Amino acid sequence: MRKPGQQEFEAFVAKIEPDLRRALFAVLGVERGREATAEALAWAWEHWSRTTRLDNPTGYLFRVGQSRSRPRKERPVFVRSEWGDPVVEPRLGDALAELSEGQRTAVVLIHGFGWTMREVAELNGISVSTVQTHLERGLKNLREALEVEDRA
Amino acid sequence: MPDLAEQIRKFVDSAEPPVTIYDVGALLEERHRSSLNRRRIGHTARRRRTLLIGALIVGLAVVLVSQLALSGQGSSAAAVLDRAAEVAATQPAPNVPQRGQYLFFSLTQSAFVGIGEPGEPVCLLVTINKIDTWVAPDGSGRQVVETEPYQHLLPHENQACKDQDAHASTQPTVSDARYPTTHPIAGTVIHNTSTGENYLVYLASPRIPTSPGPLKQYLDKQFKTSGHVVNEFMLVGTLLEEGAPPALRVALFQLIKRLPGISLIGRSKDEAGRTGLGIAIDGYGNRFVLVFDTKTSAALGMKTVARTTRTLGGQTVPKGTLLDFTNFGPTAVVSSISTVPGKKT
Repeated sequence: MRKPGQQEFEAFVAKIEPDLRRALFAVLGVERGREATAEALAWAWEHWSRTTRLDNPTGYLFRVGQSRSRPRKERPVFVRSEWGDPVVEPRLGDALAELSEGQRTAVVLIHGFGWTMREVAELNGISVSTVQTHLERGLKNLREALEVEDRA
Repeated sequence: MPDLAEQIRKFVDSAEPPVTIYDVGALLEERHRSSLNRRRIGHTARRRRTLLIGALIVGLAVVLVSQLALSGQGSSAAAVLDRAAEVAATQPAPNVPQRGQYLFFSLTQSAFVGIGEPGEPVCLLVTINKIDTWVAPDGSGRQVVETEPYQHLLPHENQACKDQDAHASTQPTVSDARYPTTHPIAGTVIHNTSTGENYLVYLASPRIPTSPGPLKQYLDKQFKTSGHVVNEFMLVGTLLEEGAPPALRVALFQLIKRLPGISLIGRSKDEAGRTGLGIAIDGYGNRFVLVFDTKTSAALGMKTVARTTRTLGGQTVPKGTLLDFTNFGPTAVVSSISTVPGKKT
């Protein structure tokens, strides 16, 4: 069972971690998203030989992170820090948590982190048109929940 | 209100602190320990796993040390914070009020207020509050808040916000209330999220861990920092001011040292003009600065400065704009609920 060298693993984490963390944040919320990211990276360390053979390590570790995090029936929590920027709609966190997992992933990754629909589709192993549907429905639900009419 | 896309972009800032290889190593180590406690592991397997974990920990330590060595600011900040922890360890235990006495503490704090109608640019206002608090050993007490009239955060928006000035206080006000209070600007009221009670840190300090790892876990859980380094940094600054005992102060400096992205900015002044040593961390598009006294390791003040030119509520906030600040004032044990140290009553 091969283990990575420290530089090798550090380089892997530097490359994978930002997208992995953001994707898991979108699905699981702030705290569970971070926990799941650490879990997925720990899995990569423990299964290094397999990890290096993956075609889409981010997508695979994304699913590892989800399956190794706490039970999914737990509602994701999106906390807007009181220390942060005060000019943010306070109901946004709850409204995001109410979206379906697919809708939330599309909305947060595309509008929050600037991903393309194709990147989200590759991450989830679904079609671009499905991502587009998730995005449109997610934004519609957010607008209704927040009572805003503008177009994101 | 800014449009939905902008709201979402701002909101996702809370996902930004990276998960580091240090976090991964800590997770593996924790899992390893718990598995050892729960079940017997065969000698060979245990030895192999211990070796693997040990190798990972050593590797991570080497990486961290080399990263610190490569980062001039990081290594400087680490050295300064080590020194601050040493100084903190030599400080006398804080005065704790006995029956019939009160702990007095004072701070001056700016609060940021955005006022505006939906769809219109938000008027960015700042108010400055001087907060004096007296607390008895049972946690009850008194709090006096003097509030100055609102000021505009940005001089150039005075005209734009003229019509909205009706919303703003133009006269200083004073509130004199029982403590603890739910007053939203009571900066030193710590909200215990698990039980809903308010308490002062010095009263709870025996319950607070004094080694960096458990302390971080405690703070993250108790104060819902979301593991965000900026939240932890700001919280540590507040706790340093709260008359924390020496062992806790040492742990607080050690915790700051471990936060990724911490930097030394050198000799600095707080917003009261007092000189100390400044350390900083960046996040949310801002720079958060803590200035502390090198002789005592006490926190003097904190401030938040816009790190880049950015848009807030439809207004352009230039880089370097002071967004808010807190200056920590004197702390002392007094014999009555109206005595202000250094002032004749």
